[in-house]
Amino acid sequence: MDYGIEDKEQETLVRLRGRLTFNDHAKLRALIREMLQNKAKRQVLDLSTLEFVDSAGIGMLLIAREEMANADKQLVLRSAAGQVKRVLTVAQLNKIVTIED
Amino acid sequence: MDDAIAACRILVVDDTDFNRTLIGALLGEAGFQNVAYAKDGFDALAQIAADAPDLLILDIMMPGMDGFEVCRRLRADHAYADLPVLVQTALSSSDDRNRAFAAGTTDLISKPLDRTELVARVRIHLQNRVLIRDLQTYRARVEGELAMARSMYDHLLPSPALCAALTDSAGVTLRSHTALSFDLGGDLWGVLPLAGGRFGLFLLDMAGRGVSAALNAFRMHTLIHELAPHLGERPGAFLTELNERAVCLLELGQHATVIYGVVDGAAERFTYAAAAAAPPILIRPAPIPPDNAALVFGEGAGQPVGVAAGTRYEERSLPFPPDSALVLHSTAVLETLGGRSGGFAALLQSAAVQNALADGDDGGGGAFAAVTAALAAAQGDVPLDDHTLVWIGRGGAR
Repeated sequence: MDYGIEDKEQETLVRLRGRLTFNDHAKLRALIREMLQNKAKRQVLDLSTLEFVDSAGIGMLLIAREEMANADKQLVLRSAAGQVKRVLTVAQLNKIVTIED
Repeated sequence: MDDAIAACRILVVDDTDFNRTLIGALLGEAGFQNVAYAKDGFDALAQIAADAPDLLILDIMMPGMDGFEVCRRLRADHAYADLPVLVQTALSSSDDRNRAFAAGTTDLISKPLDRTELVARVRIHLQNRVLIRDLQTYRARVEGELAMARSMYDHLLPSPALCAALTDSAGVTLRSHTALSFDLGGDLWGVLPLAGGRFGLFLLDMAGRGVSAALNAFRMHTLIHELAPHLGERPGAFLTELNERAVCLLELGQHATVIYGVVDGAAERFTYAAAAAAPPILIRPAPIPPDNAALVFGEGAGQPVGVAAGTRYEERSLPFPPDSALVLHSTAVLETLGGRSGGFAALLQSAAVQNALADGDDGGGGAFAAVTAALAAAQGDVPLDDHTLVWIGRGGAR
């Protein structure tokens, strides 16, 4: 997995690419630190170019949500497609995290 | 100098007394405490066979067997394939030096000997050797522990005897296929015998990989068996309580996908609750009415267990008529078969599986074999993630 960060007026947009799996633990930790340092309240993860997420990846997204909440920020998952969308739906993450199309 | 390096055994091979004495003196002065000597190639090989050194300093020009030959023979023997061999050489042409490397030399030391160069090269190659040895020891230990964790894991899975007992008491045939990834992916399944010829069945996939996932799967296994006597009959309440306990037990970011259900042959029903699991699938008995599909999919959606306290899990059910089969599986099965001709559903509806079911008087054994063969072919020798598939056949004529 890799990512690109774009600072917008109201929100920070992070575009995730590739596969988010157990192996990306360190990288996602680093990303969470970057997101915490950002000023924007809304931290949006754009998942449109994310191809795959495994159970550990879901766990890391939940960690990100918790860390944002602790810092009084909001995590938004946006534009998931394909397998990623299916996994988010099956796990009913919309009950815990804000999910936008 | 590091004690481990100073204690390394160095064998100096030279036919000239003076050279042996000189090299030994230089090494001793630099702090190396374990230096041995050989006077020619034959002597060297005999000493190496008796007590393998950590490093060899080898002369090239020797009567009888020269240094090239010693090197070649050592490299031909697997036991000495990674022994560092430093060749002392006056050979100045690059052809000769290349010949030395071709014979398996690790490094060269130029003659006449320079003390600083000799000590520096010996030290650096011994440092490498000690590091590699440490890593090999560590790796062997990790592999050993993973193997132990895996065998403990195998003991958690239902034994063939338990499956056979259920066949008798519940009138179903229970078959399973599990393939663990090399580092343990955290899959687990099991059965809980209940009163009245029924039984509970769970399939669990712990998030994450390796030892931590395995440890968490063990904890979940314990919780499940604690809850079984009170809540085993009620899948929704079972998962709801399992989640409450798991939220307290698991760290943030750790969770499990679970499906738990009660197989009731007499009532022809499978009642279950799911937490982000792959949907259970019912394969209907032949002949399929023309307006009906061969497969009935249950619902796997639900929040994973261990994420949020207060989550409630809904109870759902699937029919389970005679001659049908119920298939539970981990999501890795879907991923593995996803890319292949429409995936798992297509496999279950394929002619091979359907025909085996149609003429099956063995409770779906042939169909199960056809499915697992296709799965084994797709996942390769060592799967990337754990695969679990549990097949519950209801024979008419079993």
